[in-house]
Parts: sequence; structure tokens; C-alpha cells
Amino acid sequence: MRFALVATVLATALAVASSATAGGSAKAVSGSRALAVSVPADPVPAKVGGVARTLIRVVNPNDFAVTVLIRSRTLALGDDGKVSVGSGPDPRWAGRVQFPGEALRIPAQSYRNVPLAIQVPHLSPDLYFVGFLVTPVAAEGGSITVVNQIGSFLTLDVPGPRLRLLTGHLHLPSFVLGSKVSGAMRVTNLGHASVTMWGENDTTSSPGGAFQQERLGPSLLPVGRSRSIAVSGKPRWPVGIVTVTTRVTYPGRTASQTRELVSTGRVIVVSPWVPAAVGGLVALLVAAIWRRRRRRRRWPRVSAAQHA
Amino acid sequence: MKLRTANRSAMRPRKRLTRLALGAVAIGAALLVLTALPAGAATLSNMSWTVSNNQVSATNTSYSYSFKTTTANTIKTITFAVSGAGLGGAPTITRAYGIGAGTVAIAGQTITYTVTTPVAVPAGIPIYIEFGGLTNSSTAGSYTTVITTKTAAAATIDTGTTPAVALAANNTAVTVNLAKSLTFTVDTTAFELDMDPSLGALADQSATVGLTVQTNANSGYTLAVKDNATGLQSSGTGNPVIAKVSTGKATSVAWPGAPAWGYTVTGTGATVDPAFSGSKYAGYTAGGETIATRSGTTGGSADTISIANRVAIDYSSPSGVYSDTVTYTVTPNYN
Repeated sequence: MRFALVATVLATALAVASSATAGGSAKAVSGSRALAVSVPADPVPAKVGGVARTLIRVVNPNDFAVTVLIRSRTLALGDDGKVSVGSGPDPRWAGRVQFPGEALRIPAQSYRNVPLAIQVPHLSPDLYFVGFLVTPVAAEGGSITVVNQIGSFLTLDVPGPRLRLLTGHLHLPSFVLGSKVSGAMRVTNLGHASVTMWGENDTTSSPGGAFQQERLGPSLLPVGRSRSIAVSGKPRWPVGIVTVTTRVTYPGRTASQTRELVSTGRVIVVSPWVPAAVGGLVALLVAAIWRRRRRRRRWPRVSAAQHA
Repeated sequence: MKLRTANRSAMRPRKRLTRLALGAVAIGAALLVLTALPAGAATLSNMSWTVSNNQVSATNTSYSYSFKTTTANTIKTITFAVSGAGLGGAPTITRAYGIGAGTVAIAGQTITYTVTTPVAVPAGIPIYIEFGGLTNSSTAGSYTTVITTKTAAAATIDTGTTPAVALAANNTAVTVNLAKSLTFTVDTTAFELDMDPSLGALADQSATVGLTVQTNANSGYTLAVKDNATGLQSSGTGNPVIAKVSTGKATSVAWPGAPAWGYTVTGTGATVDPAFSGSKYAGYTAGGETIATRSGTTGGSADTISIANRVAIDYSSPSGVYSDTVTYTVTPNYN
């Protein structure tokens, strides 16, 4: 007992000492810094050969002034909406959009609207992205400097009829031991223009399930990119056949017509407790039969003896 | 006598079966006749109509209609007959739910949505159609729309009238533009590690940088990190470099001990790259690597991401001041 107490005291003392020494040498020499960038939510209409005017807003939520640099950057659009900013200016927009050449000082708790005039070259009707990077000028001091920068982009819409084509595949299991079925519709843009698509996930289940409609909001799919849409369905009873129909709709050549991708899958869904319940019933039945047989074995001997 | 009785009793079930079969055929035929008959048009339910701008003569207006089917049938066209006069514009299909792809046309006061490949639509299906590019009537007043679903033979399936919408000249049109915004905060913009190889606690140290990200971008954001091409170096002593723990996140490892310079990531809200699971460390790259993502808006609560920067040295590391610049870049995803 005495040994345990001494050991505990020693361990505690060592832990306190070690944490004090370890924590004492890493120090932040400069505090926090926040930055926000806002762009128009909708694409900016852009006529070929004309000038598209828009603005970006840089917000300084800090209690001190922040100086930032805004520079053009290439963008890489990936699958499922992902965007990465390149390390150099976008040659497509070189000389066509002028970002501020000097650093901008934004006062504390304030913002700067940066107007941009974009000269639109001869482009085919589609959506185009103008990437840029907002970088705060790093604080002096400290051996390791940390920079928080924001990449963003403006979307230009060059109007006109365009060639849109989507393809898709519904990935669903054929059997699920669980309460619901989950899958995904993978949609790929094989056309020559970006597509804003929307859709719905309709589910019915047999027996007795009511029609369920889940609406999918609009989402953008650039040329050659894919996007997964999560789909799910639930049977009404512990055992059922769930029919999932996913419909992806998108504009045709013009916005006065739409095209669609429709995929349907059927899945047998069995709740996990159904096999357990069946197993339990079988066990009970076997036990009952065994008990009955055991009784039968005993009683005939007694009756035979009585008859004798 | 016995034989006769036996025959009669054997015949009875046969007669019953014949009667039952005949009855079933008769009921089936009656049902077929009933379903083949043109049913009277039923009334659509849950009808609504909203306009994006209720100023008279407003251009580029959106009309949104929603209703539920009452009768199961194959819908080929849906007509939207707006009362009054003066409806104009070139309608576009902004959204359509509950009905197949189609085309839109306008003739006078009637907008017609034609389904390209009609399929059977059961009863009780909610349908929502939003048209853009319309021009309101120039006459102030109360307007309704008669919505009618029709078969390929132009026979009415269901019909109904929407609640009224008032167009007026003395309304105040309100437009709220909500920008796509992203806020990115770092809690430490510079830090120092005072290290000494003579004591374990001073020879292996970490400094955690806390990041928060908040955005209303529907598809979320991507967070990447990079450092200087030269890494953690000391220019004062002939550029010795404390080696990176790995060449990048693809080769992340459990902390190997001195000498090494690396980082690991944890987070709440964001999806941290699996390379950092199990407290694995990676070396920064000059080209940058994605370390965390989110596929939807953050809503009111910011995501928090912690980057633990770790340096371990021993007596093989030349003394001096080592420095590096770590840059975090957040980009909102496209919707």
C-alpha cells in the first residue's frame, strides 16, 4: 500500500515536470488572423467581345488592419466539385482582367470591394472560370511563418446554344442486410459544355411502401468531370424490395428543353433482426420437439410396466 | 344407387369451380371495360403558383408551379393557362421534378410543357415546374393559372386552378444578393521552437496551428498546404536542412524520431485525408497537397482543423536558426 502511494506520487510529479518542460519551449510569436473573400453567387453574363463587369470583396474581420495581395491563378476543376488553385497566372485571362497591382490595406473590421472589368475573348457558349488568390502579407518574426490564403474564382456565362451530354451509372447492391439501402449515381459530363443539372431520387418499396420523392438541387458539372449523387431508400416492413429510380435532368441545346438520365435499381432489404428472430423461432421449435421426444421416451416405459 | 350418389357428389365441386371461374371472368371483363372508359377529369391537389417578381411588365421573371396528380395516367403535356392578357417572354425550364424531361413553348396566355418520352405517372405524385424568362402582364390585377395534365391524345387527365397572384405597379421589388463567401482563420501566424538536443523534451517538440473555415458554398471547400521549396533550413550555417519526415502525404509514417520535420492533421467538420489517420506524419511539399475537404456548406458552425507541426533534432543537427513558411490555401468548391 505504502509502495503504491509512493509510486503514484512519483508518477504524478514526473508527469507534471515533463509536461511543464515540454510545453515551455514552443511559442507562438504572432497571433491569429482571419480573412474572408466573397464572389457573386451566380455566373456573370459575358458577351463575346464585350466587357463583363463584376467585383470581388475582401473582408478583414480582425481588430487590426490586414494587407493583402490579389493575383490571377490557374484553376484545376476536379471531380465532385473540387477545385485547386495553381501556382501561376491563368494565360487565358492574361491582359484581359486586371487585378490590383499593389497590395491592398484593409482597415480593421472592414472590407474592400475590388471592381473587375473582364474583356471577354471569342469563346464558344459555356461557363468560364477566372481564378485568383488572395494572400495576406506575412507577419515578421518567428522562425516558422504561417500564411492563410484564400483561392477563389469568378464564373462567366457566355450565352448561346451548347452541346451538353451526360452519362451516368447507378451503383446499388442487390441485397442489403440492414434497415435501408444506400448507393450512388455517378454522373459524367461527356459533352462540350459545362452542365447545371438537377434531379430526384424516387423510391418505392414492396410490400406496402409509399412513393417517396427526394429532390436534388442544382449542381455544376464541368466538361469531362464526374459527380456522385448519394441515393437511399427504405422498406416499409423489416423485409422488402426497394425500387430506387434516380432521374438526373439537365438543359438540352437551349434552356427551353431538358434531357434526362433515368436509372432504376431493385434491392432486397432484410432487417438484421429478421434472421435473428427466425433463428430464435427455429431454436424454440427444436427445443420443443426435443422435449416432446424426451417425454415420449419416458412415458412408454412406464405404461409398458403398468400394462405388465 | 350408390354409384349415382358418388357421381353427383363428385360433380358438385366441378360445378362450383366452373361458376367461380365464370364469375371471375365476368368481374375481370367488367373491370377492363370500366378502365377502358374515358374517366372524368379529376382536380389536381396541393396547387400553388409563385412569381419571382410581381411588378407589372417585369422581365426575366420566374413562374414556379407545384401540384399533385390525382389520376394515374400517362402525361404527355401540361398546360398552364394564365388568366388575363399580356403574358410574354421566351420561357425556359429552370427546374422540373416529378415529370420527365421535356420542352416548353408559349402561345398567348398558355405555357405548354411537353414531355419528350411520356411514362405512366401514378396518382399522388408531387410535380414542381419552374419556368424562367417570362414577362409579366402590363396590367395590374389578380391572376390565376389553370393547370391541365393531358394524354398524348390531348384528353384531359386532371385539371385545377391555382390560388391568385397579384401583379401591381406599386409594389416594392426586393432583391437580396447573397454572395458566395468563405472565411479562413489561422490562430498562429508565426511560431518558434526553442530546441536543445541535450534533453528529450527539448529535442522533440510540436506546435499546433488551429485553422477554422466557414463557407456557404454548396459543395464545400478544399484545404491544401505547402511550404518553401527549401524546407526547414538554416541559411546561417551553410544551409543544413532538417529532413522532412516523408516526401508527402502518400508516404506518411508514424513519427520516426530525430532528425525530422513534419505535420499531422486532425479536424472537426472537415474530412481529413486518411493519410493522417493513426497519428501519421507527412512532410510538407513545395507543390502543395490537399489535406482536408468538405462536400457541403459548413452552415453556422465553422470547421476546425488542427495541424500539429513537429520537429525532432539530435546532435547530428547543426546548431542555428531554422526557418520555413507554411502556406494554407482554402478554395471554395464549385457547386
